Parts: sequence; structure tokens; C-alpha cells
Amino acid sequence: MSVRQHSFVFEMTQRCNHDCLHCYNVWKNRTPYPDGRLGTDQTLAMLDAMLQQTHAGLVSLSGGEPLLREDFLDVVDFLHGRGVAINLITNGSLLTAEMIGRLAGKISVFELPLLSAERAVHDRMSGAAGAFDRATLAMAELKAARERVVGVFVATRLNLPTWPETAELAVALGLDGVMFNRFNPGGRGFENLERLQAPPDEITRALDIAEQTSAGYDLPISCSIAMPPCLFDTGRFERLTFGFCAAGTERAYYTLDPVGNVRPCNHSPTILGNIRETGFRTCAESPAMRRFMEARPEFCAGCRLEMQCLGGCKAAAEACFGTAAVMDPFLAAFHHLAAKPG
Amino acid sequence: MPQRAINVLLAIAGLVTVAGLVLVGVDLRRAAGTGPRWKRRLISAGLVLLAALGMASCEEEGTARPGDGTEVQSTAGTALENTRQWQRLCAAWKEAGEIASGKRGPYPFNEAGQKRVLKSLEQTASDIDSLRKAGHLSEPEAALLTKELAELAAGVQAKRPTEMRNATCYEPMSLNFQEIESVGRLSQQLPLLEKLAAAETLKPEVVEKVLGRIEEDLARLDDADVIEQLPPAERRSAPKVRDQVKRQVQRIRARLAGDARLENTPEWKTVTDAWRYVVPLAESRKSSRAQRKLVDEKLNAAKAAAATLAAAGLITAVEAQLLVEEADGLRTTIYRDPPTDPQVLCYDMMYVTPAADSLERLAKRVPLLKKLAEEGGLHRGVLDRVLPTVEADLKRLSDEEQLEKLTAEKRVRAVGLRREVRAALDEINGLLGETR
Repeated sequence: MSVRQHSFVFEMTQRCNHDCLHCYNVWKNRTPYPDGRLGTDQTLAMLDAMLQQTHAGLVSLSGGEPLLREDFLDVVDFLHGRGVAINLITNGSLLTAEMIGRLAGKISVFELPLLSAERAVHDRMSGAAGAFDRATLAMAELKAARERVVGVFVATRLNLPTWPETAELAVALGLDGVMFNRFNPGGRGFENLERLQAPPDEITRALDIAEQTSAGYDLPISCSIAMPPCLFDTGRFERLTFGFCAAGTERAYYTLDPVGNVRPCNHSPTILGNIRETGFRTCAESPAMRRFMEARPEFCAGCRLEMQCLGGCKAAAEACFGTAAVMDPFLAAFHHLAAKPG
Repeated sequence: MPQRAINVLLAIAGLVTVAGLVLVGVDLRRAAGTGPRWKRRLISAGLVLLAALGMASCEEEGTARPGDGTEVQSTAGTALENTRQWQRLCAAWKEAGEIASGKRGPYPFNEAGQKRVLKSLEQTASDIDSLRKAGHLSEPEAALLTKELAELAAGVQAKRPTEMRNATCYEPMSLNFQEIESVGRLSQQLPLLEKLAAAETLKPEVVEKVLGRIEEDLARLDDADVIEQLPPAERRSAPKVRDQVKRQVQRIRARLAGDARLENTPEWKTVTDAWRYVVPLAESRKSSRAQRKLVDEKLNAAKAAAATLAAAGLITAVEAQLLVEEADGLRTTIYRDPPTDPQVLCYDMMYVTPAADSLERLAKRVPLLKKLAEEGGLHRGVLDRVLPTVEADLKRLSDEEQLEKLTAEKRVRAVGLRREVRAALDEINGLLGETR
């Protein structure tokens, strides 16, 4: 178990001006999650402690919508002053030209949703009218300011039919990369599971298009949310990159909420402890973290890639079914189609 | 003789020698420094030999590390250690043990290496079974080794290949961020942007922003020094692509300015320029070789422009195809007559009756005219350039005197074609009337 970390996520606020159908935020789960926020000084002290204890060189600012926080720029300035790279995960609605100017040179990568090339589909998934126009304008503004921008496509049944045009839109906007994430239920997304979850064959077809787009336009495309190798033959996609759960490694995605609670990742509702009370090491070495790391669904026993794939997204299993030791919702829905790698 | 037995015998012989020397009371150090030369040499050689044998023995012992399983004893004794399976098992066990224990770091292999190690562990499982069957391992020994092996394999699987060094849930990609977009990338980006702008997928201010950045990049490509720094392949194509991209930018801008009428585009100007030059030459049936060369250039440019206009949605694909057909037709007409220059070759000419010519031309155009009538979306400017020829051909095929010059078969075909073309033209004219 590694205490030294490459990065961590800071959920700046639980507030958001969008209401995405696929939102995985843990405070939208059926089980309650603590609310609250700290003042700016306390927040900066907390971040200072987290940085000192993890030695992280990268912090991803997320939410909710991070720009809704009044002291957003104070946090950015503080992290930038500490020489830390910053990823900003935002819906882009508040990224005005003025704000982009104030952030110049401080953000390593901007991650904005690009849910569809069809305005209506993007807006519907975002739960906010005008979301598409605001996001695309923000992307164009960012690129005009020579910033690095990655579009995030969350693949659901609603927007998969528009994926080919959406990939082209990413090229047209001059984005530096695209994340093609399969819908990973949790939070509000779990409520919409039936209408959003696309079957593996539809996703595979989209991956074929992603491969072609990536090759044709030299556009990096990654599939960040774990794609179980028993449902996807990921080996045949030469251009795409695939992520797996990194829990417990030095590249884990420990998540710090606004009041200092530490979780294994931003999809997981499990609170390991509070950085302000117990310190990070206690969280990383807690029995809860060990349980999270060791949990694997029984279904995966005997699979050659069990220890690599770890059964998909354990955090989603936890968020939807209350335990990380069962199949994640995607695998649960489609395990009858699974072909375990020999 | 098995190696372990040799080692044991050597150790015993060494102990006996040492004990003997102690008992006899020989002072080796003194003996090595005194007496005849042969005696001193013999003692030195003996000491070196003993040291060498001792070191060899240590190395052999080194392969059997506590906890890596190679110390498992067998009822079959030394025979086990001599088997190929056991030696393979030891090697695989040692490597896997180091990987699983983390001694080789968190990313101890690449994907190919990981496959190889896991395969060697699979082989080890079958080796254990073979050794058990051959009586080299007892049942409990084999069972214990198999269980240990499973733990070892799990430990190996838990390690990730170097390819996954950067693969976490959220940042599995490396970005190829460039300060100036490559010329190739710009030329790919623009048609997509134009398409999205035409479909009004993006709001004008978004398109305007994207264009702003592209124009900055293009402006830098005006600098010869910048072009000089490009990779050789890009350097050659850069000026041409840059100019093409600039035209595309102009066209998109015209659309954004609400000035996206066909007539305002540079491509349409190319088409009209070509027609203005070529049609009089075709009608006069007089042209020089130099004029024909220019005709070819202008018509080729017009054909390319038609394709671009269709891609931009300013004319339909069928209209573009008709323009191309018409351009080819004009060229054929011009080339049918000898050039006005003196050098005429007898093989350049072949008389084709005007009616046969019209028949062939209309036969090619009829499917397109029908499609145009079906799909609509007509542009008068295009039809103004296409329909006169069609109507002239139709008129010619309606002229009995001209028809007489055709074969019987072609005459029948001409009558059918006439009917089809008229029907299509009626529909097109009707649509044009509605448009007006």
C-alpha cells in the first residue's frame, strides 16, 4: 500500500449548476453523505497537509462544479504556488474569457463534458438548457487561449448514436484528447441505470469508431473507466488506451471532500478517515481501504486477469450495491455475455 | 554424480583434511613460506583449489533460497533436482518470487514479459504434476507446491506491466499538445468545422473562436522561417495546404457573416470564370492549343471547386456532379474540332454526328437530372450553366433531320431519352418556379 501518491482529487463543493442524468457524485447516492464546507484558510491548510503527507504532484479539482466556489481562484493560486499541476474537471459553464485569462498558465489540463454533437442530447444529459453551447464555447475559448483541453464523452444509450459526429466535433474544436468513458453508475446515475446503460456490443461499435477517429485525426482517445476484458476485447484497439482501478497503488485516485474526508476514489462512498483528524497514512492503511483493495467479485475467481482488472469498478459496486466485493453494475448486467480471458 | 552429493563429499573431505592438519600440527602459513619450491607451490595450489570448490558450492546453494520453494525435499532425493521439470520450476519460482515480493518494483515487466512469466507459472503447474506422477514428488508435496504456486501467480498478476504505468482511472492518456497545430491537422479540422457550421451544430461565436485560433496559426505559417522548421514532409505541402485552409476559413467566415450565398464564395467565382472563358470557345468551335491548355486548367479548377462547394453544403452533390459532367462536355466539344494552330494531326479527328453526341451526353445526364428533380435543393446559378446544353441536346434530338443521321437503334433510344429528359426538366422547372 503506497502512501506517497502521484495525485489526488479535491471535491471543492457539492453544489452544481447542472443536474446530469449520469452524475456519480456520492452525495447523490441513496445512503446519506456528510455535507459542509470549510473556510478558505482551513481549506488551504487542509490541502497543505494533504500535499505534505502524499507528496502528490497533481491535484484534480472537481465537484460538484468547482467554479461555483467563491474562493476557487484562491485554491488554484495556492496549489499553483506550491508547484503542483492542476487538472480542472468542470462543466465549463462558468469558464468565461475573463476567468480563462485569470487561470492562464495555472491549469495543466481542462476536462469538459462533450456528451454529444447534438445540442438537445447534450443538454438533456446535462440537465441544463444551453449546456452544449456553453461547453463548446468554453472549449473554443480555452483553445484560443492555447490551453490543453480534453472532452469527456460518457457513453450511454442516449448519446451513443451520436458518437461518430461527437468525435468529429472534438477534432473540429481542436481538442487535445477525448475520454470515452462508459457510463459508470452511482449517485443519480444509478437511478437512471435502465435508460442509460448501453450493452457491450453497442459500446464496442463505438470503440471501433473511436479507434478510426484516433488514427485518422491523430486524436488521443482513452477509456478511463475500467472496461472488463471479459466483455471487451481491448487488445484489438491499438490506438485507444484503457484504464484500470489503481486503488492502493501510488497512482490511486484518493479523493478529498470539502470537509477533509478521504475516500479511495471519487466514485467510492467509503470514508476512510479525515485528513484533518487522522492524517493520510491512517486513511491509506485503514482496514476499510484494505477491504476495498482486496475486494473482488466471486465471479472473477480463476480469471487470468483477475488481479489486473479487479472486477471492473469496485467503487460503482459499492455505490450501487453497498459492497465492493460484488460485480460492478455493468458486469452484473452483462456477465452472461462474458468470455473470461484464458 | 548429483551435484549435491559432490558438495557433501567435498565438505567432508575438507573437514577431514583440516582436522588432520590440526592433529598433526602443521603450520600451513609457515610451510607455504619455507621449504623447497615444489612444496610451496603444491600448498598454494591446494589452497586455491579448496577456495574455488568452496565458492562453487556456495553458488549452487544460492539458487535454493528459503521461502522460494526450491528447498522442498523429495523422497526421490537427488534424482528430483536433476530433472528438467524441477530445474525449470526453480527458475520460474525464483523470477516469480522476486516479482511478487515487489523486489523488482511495481511495474516489473512489460505486457509481453508479464505473459511470459504467467505462462512459465502455468508450465510450472504441469511440471509439478509430472514430477508427482513420476514419483519425484509425494502427493502432499505436490499439493503444497501447487497451493504456493497459486499464491505466487496471484502476486505476479497483481503487478502491472510498464504499459500501464500511467493507466489509472482518470489519466490514462498522454496528450500531444502543440503550440501550433500541424498543417495536416488544420487541413483535417477545417472541413469538419465547416460541416458543423453548415449544419448549425455550433453557434457562430464558437465557430468564430475556433477560426480565430486557426487564423493565428495560419498567419505564423506565412513566415518562411516557420515553414523551414517544419518536418520535411509538411514543409513541402505546407504552402499549398495553408492556402487551401485560408480559402476554407474565408468561406466559413462568409457563412458566419450571413453572406453564405453561393455567389459570394471564391469557388463559385472559379466556376463562373471557367464558364465565361470556355463556353464562347465551345460555341465558336475555334480554339488554339494555348487556349485549350487554359481550358483544361480552368475546367479542372472548376471541377475541384464544385466538389468543395458540395462539401460545404452550398450546392448539392448532384449539382456538383452535373457541373463536372458539363465541364467534361464542354471540353469534348472544344477538342472535337482541330485547333486553329497549323499543326494538325490526322489521327486527332474523328467525325461524330451532333445527334450522336447529344444522345450520349443526355444519356449521361438523365439519371442526374432525375435525381435532382427528386431531391430538390436547386440552385439557379448551377442550372443556368447546365440546362442550356441539355435543352440544346433535346432540341437536336427532336429534329427529325438530325435523327435521320442516327442508327435505327439509336433513334429508338433517342425518343425514349427525350421523354425522360422532358419529364425531369418539367419537374426541375416546376421546382425552380416554387423557389422563386
